[in-house]
Amino acid sequence: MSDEHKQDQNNDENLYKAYMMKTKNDIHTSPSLSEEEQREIIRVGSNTARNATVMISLAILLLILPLMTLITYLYYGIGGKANAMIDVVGKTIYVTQPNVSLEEMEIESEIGLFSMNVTFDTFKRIGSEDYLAEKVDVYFGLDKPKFPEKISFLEQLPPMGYGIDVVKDGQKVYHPDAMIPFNTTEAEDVLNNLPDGTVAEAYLSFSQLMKPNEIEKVLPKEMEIRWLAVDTGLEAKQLDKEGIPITPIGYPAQVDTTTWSPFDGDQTNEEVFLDILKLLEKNEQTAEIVSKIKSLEINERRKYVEDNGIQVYGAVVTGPVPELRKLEQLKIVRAVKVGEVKLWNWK
Amino acid sequence: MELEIKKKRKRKLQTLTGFTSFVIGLLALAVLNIGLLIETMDIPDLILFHLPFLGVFLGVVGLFTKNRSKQFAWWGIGISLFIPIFIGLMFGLSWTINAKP
Repeated sequence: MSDEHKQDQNNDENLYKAYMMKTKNDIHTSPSLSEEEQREIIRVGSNTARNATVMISLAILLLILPLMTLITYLYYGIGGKANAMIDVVGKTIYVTQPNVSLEEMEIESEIGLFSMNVTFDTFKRIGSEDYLAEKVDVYFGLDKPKFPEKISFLEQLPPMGYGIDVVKDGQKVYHPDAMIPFNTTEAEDVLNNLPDGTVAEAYLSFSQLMKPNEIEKVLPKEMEIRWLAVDTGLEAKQLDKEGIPITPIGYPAQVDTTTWSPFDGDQTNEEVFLDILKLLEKNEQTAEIVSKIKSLEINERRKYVEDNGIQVYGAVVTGPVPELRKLEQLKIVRAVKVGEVKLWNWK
Repeated sequence: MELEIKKKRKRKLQTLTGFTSFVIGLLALAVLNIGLLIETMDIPDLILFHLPFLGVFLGVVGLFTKNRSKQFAWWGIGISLFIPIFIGLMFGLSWTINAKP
């Protein structure tokens, strides 16, 4: 058994040696490349590798911008994120800025890298005409807005700053239980000293809460009610539960026939107002930054309005100055503050 | 030796279609980048559609040639396909964002 084994092993060794010999022989006899040819191969190889690296790097660099642009568009486009943000911006304006409207069709959006700028014009109705009030530019970094940049075309510049300044300077309508911080006689003097041939907007603070439909009955006929300030339970103190000042919220009094306006008459303006509050409740941070109001406290105010119904404590009206002077005689009107004034355009 | 030289020449010819496809892709991509940077959609169709089409065609030819390295051809096809897909998606998404009649 072991002899046989040894024999096999010898055979294998012989075979292996023979094979190795043949291979070595082959290596020596096979045609080999000269040194120059070898260099050429290495040179071509390294050139090809370098070219490939350069071109692929270039391709990756050139793909960065289109890919990031595409990702941004996908972010804003899928699920209508951009449209929802534009909607919130527009509706915030309607409920937080008295007698200010905008044209939904004219809202422009420009998408940059991971950001979007929403630009639009706002208008004020003074007399029978709409006047350009502000050019607004809201920057969104993804879905986070920055304070809007505004160019105002109004004679009375909107209050600068954020929070308390807006409350102190920007507010012109006051709840019956709130103190009026300005001298009402002086405010009426402004109206008395305006020429008869002018039209103006006037901010009225009522001496009691009223239903929206009652207001038209008590005010003179030759004027247009533009905006109604709604009692939301916080206006008497003008502070939210954390002690942060709040400003009036309300809604346009007239049906707006402008295309795509939320107050287009399909629902009553009161219903639209409540719908907007629900929308802003979900987007409160955006609404607060867009309106530059530190606290909107939408949740609490919406609940109050739903429980107590819509009660109005102030209004913005516009009309001829002689007609507006009649407001001073009304008991229901506690204070009149003149806003913008324009030359006669009443029809 | 002759055989080897022939092989070399053949290899160069074969990579040419893939290489051209890649270069065309890079060129179109560069123009697309310029368009995005200067914020214009006014890029000629030649760059956005005809050139990438040529790029895909050459890339596919490059794939079918018996060459070991098809890397450039794949890149050329990839970029050339990316450009029209990108344009299509951008148009579609632009329509969904703040669309107006």
